[in-house]
Amino acid sequence: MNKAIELKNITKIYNHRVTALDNVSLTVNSGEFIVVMGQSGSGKSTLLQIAGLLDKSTSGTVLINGRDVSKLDKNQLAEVRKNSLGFVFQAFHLNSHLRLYENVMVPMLINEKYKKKSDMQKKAMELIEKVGLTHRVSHYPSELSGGEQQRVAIARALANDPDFILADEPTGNLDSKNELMIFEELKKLSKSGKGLLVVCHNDAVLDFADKVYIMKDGVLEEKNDEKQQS
Amino acid sequence: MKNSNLNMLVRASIVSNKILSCFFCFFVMLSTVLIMLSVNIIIPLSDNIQTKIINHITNREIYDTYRGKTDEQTIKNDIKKIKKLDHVEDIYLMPYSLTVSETSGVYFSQHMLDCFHNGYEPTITAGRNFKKGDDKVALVPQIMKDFNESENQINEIDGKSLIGKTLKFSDENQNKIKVKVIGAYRTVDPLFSGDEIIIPRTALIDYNNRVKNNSDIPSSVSEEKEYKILVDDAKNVERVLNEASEITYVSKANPVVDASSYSVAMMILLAISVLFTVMVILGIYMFLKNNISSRIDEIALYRSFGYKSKNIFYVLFTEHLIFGLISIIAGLIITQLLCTFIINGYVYSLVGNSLMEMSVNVTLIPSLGFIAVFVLILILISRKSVKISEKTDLTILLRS
Ligand SMILES: Nc1ncnc2c1ncn2[C@@H]1O[C@H](COP(=O)(O)OP(=O)(O)OP(=O)(O)O)[C@@H](O)[C@H]1O
Ligand SMILES: [Mg+2]
Repeated sequence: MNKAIELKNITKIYNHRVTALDNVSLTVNSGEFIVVMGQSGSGKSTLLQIAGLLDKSTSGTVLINGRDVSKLDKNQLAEVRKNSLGFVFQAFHLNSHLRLYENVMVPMLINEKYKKKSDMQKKAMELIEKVGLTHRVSHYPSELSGGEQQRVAIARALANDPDFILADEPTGNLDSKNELMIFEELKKLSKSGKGLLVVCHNDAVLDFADKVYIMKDGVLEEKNDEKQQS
Repeated sequence: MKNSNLNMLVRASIVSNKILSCFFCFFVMLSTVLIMLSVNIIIPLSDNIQTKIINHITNREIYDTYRGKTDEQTIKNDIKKIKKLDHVEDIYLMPYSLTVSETSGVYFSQHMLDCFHNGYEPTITAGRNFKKGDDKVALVPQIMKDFNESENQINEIDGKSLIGKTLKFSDENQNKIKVKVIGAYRTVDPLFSGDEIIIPRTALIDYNNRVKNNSDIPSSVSEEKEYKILVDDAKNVERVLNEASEITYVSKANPVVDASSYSVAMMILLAISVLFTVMVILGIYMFLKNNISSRIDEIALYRSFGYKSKNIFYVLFTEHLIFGLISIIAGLIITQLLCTFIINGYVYSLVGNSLMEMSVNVTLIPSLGFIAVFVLILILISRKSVKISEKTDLTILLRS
């Protein structure tokens, strides 16, 4: 079975008035680094929310690894998010009262795959090592720079070994040097087989993307090479 | 998955909401003190009302009186029948109390020679109570006011100081009786006027007989015989009265004590504790609701990781359970301190040295009951709060 997030003819209308997505179709395959760009208010976050099962579309189908999610109840959706999806947010959303490794452990706490707390800790250490923060594992988020915090958030998104990572402007709060580091981190993930759906404003991401889409007033278009020059 | 894994999150949220948590703890503690105070007053109060007032021995007694000429066989037959009635604990001959003077100089004024009603448990404050076979012995009031006419003053005589002494009594017809004081009893029960010298019932019957045979003036002692029927519970008195009146002439005494004023006090306390319980429920509800709305991001984040409602419930419930239990225990300790140093002194000034005397203390069963009710309320409210949080829009994670 092909691992993929498939969005088919998704339309999202807020409050019966605002059409945030207009018949959008998009597939994120495993190992793919997909970027969605576009102006503010064009519907990028809306797309990510629907792909990440954080919100429901008004019409259209969402398939995750071939499974139609429209028929799933709250608990089943939660199960899919736990097993298949990892999120990275612009605002990091780290728990300031937990140490780094504990933050990374939070998604693991409900995963029956981990039998013992020590297994979770071991896994958290590995993930923190992957993002290069081994020397800070016992620190609290407030003691870290923004870029470092976002790397912790990436480690956390990987906690339950998801097939896909969804990131909404992961570098929105970061300077350009940190931005590159985050994109490199994400690129590594796609190379290791994860499917990535990244919403971004910044052209710097273009060097890392496998496919780039442009969102314009709720309509998604694949960016071709000529347009890339402008 | 073990829920205890989530204790890490419980710990984090405990340290993150210090001020709000303090407020919650204070609220629960205060409620505990108020509710437990009312409950721990209600319990001994209602117990007193039930056992000491409603079921006071005089409220369980029926008179069965015979004219002096009634023949012994009729009386014997009646008693036999009455004894067989349901709820009758005892039927016995009650001798009359007699007015006597002390002749050896211990007391100056006249006093009553009396005996205890069957079924009455006196409180002995010094010495000992009667034993089977005791004959020429007496119990004196703990403290007796005695009027000395020649000195024109009232002496308070401490009953304890008379123990071991022999008192010599004599009635108006010079019938004499000599008794040795073996103890002193409390006179707070309205059964006593406070100046009765108590002797065993058999001794008083003997003395009654001597007076009867030795007097010219007709009196109750010579004209009547009074039996007392003791009923097991005040609520059965009417029934026994009806059944016994088919056998012979019986009547009920006027009650010497009345529960109504105490019942009002109890109703007020009951209303207070119900009111505070409702307040606690509302308080916890508002608090949890407020807590959830202030932690909407945190809860949305957990849900984005795939946390289900039962996981969120565990985190919220455990956190408040810990705070709640700590506060309740603190509240119980404060309640006991208040009882010991303030409340009991006040209660004593109100009802001390009376039939209603009681002390207020934190006791185990009401405390456990209170904790159980708290946990139950917390479970219900936490579930409701989690239900509310299910409606949280997870997209706020992308918008903040
Ligand atoms: N909950 C909502 N209710 C009503 N309208 C909404 C809601 N969320 C988004 N919208 C509208 O939908 C449109 C798309 O919003 P969206 O957040 O997806 O844009 P975006 O491309 O992510 O913008 P930005 O780059 O500023 O984050 C906007 O016009 C926005 O006002
Ligand atoms: Mg957005």
